[in-house]
Amino acid sequence: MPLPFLLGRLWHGALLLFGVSILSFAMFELAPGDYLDEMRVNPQIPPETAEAFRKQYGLDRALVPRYVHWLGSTLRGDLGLSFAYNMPVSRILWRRVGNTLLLAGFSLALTWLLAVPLGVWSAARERGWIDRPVSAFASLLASLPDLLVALACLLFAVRTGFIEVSGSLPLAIAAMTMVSFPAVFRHVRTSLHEILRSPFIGHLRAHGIPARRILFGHALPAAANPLIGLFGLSLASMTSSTLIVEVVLNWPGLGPLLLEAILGRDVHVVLAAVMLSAILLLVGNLVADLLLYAADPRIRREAA
Amino acid sequence: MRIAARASLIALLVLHVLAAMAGFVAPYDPTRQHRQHQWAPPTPLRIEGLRLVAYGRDDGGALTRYPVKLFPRGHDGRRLFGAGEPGKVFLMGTDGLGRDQFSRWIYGARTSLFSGLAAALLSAILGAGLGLAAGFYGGRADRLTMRAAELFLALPWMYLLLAMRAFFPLNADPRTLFLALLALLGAIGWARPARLVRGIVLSAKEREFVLAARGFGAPDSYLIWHHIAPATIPTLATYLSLAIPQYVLAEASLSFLGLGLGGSVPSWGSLLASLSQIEVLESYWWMTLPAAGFALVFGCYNELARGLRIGMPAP
Repeated sequence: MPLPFLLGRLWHGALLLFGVSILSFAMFELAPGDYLDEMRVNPQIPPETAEAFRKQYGLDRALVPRYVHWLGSTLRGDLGLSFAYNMPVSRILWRRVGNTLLLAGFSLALTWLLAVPLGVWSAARERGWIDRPVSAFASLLASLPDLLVALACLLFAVRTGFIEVSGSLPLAIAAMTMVSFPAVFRHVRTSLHEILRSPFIGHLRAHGIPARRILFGHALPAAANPLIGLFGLSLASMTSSTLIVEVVLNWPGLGPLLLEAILGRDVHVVLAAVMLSAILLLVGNLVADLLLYAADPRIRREAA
Repeated sequence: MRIAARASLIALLVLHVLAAMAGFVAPYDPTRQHRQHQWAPPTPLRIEGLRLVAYGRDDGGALTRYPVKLFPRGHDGRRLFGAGEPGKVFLMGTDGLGRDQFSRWIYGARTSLFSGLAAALLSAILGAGLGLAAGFYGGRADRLTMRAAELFLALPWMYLLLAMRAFFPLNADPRTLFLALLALLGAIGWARPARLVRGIVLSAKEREFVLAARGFGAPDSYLIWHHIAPATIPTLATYLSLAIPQYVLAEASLSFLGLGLGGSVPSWGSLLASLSQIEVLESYWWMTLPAAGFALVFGCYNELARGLRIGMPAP
């Protein structure tokens, strides 16, 4: 792996993260009110206590010094304190991130394990007995928004009693897989379909090479490129697309934590969650670039 | 265009007209609580002879027939349809407070559809303006715009939306909140159309007729309005056909999460929110009817976008 390519990508990513941090910090800070407002209207807490808390959390300082302070401590790995939980943000965050990555990882794997063979089969036997139902199902799922898919899964689970409902990993994985399946399936099917119609496949056929070898030895590698790009993209978007599913199906991941923190104006948790999801997105993009670099000689030449 | 795409277009247009006239189409006020009819299933309707009849129980509890009338006059003006009091027509049943689900759905359609439409248009206009300027003038402005676009695309948008929503107090005046939400959705989404438009502009400004016009001394404004901007229209149309449902969904998701316009304004998202309660899913099947309507609308959007994509020359 060439170092300059990697370094350039990392530098770019760091710049983006810096921008994201400024944007989200400014946005959240400019919003009226803070966590201590509720404390202030609570008659049981004396105003001096609220003021003391305000000083302790550094909420009385101006925007820019606070940002610099936050950035410094974040770079040192200290994400600050959660007001609502009254414990370090990192402790809350790691468990939640673990849950989100668990959900995202399993559903990503399941999606690709299902979509690639089905897509290849559908493209190879167009309008066959597997292509028709799967394509129709994918079209149906593609037109349904993730919110409705998640609700439908919940409805199914409740009505059949088949799966335990609240906070169940299999249910969340099923919902996520259904949300991301159609895009991958269609991508595999159309790109392979196009390759199978191109002249070089015709030549191979004319040479009498068996259909199975043409499909797996020649057509599939040629179709791999856009698929690798898509894999990186779905890796990158997984964490943000899990949000709705997590909330609907009550899976304790990053999404519900962020929602709760926004409603409670828990600044450090919001910032950490947004930054973390941006990092996951950038890592996904980086992985996609590296995979493409490894797979496609043209990109290697371009980067060199 | 394919027949399915045309049918979808017509259905969507009809729905937009109905939603715009929600006050006339909905048989009841969406916030009115029919206390005697909590968790009422959809009213059974029969065709008897040439008349549509709603069945219901009268004050004494006996099963009674109430003919459904067109254009009945209520105390707040004419409605599209309704049954004579004390008969009721609940096409989609009622919720736990006795509010008519169909009326809430139609009013919710007004909120969700039009906020989606307006936000998508706003993002397209913002994006097209920035993309045009960046592509046409190039240089530092171009680099700056594209870096900013990358920044916005790198943000997980749902997280960004939620974070930005925190900008506004939760219980503000619905009208202000509606406009703020629109601005928010539009402002987050400018990056994608800006990139698309910039790409078109970069290739369009090197076309021979544009170079010729420039050679004849045409000013920049002439070049942009007569040669460059028209070239971006097919791309923008395709973008809009894909973006509008996304923005409708964005509004519905926000309301679903409790970050939308608040409980007093019906939106598709707040209608769906009641479905995340397990006892509702267990006992009241008609509560899923608004979701089914929502799904149908999305199917129409999808079909329309596909029809447009096939019908358009590739950009």
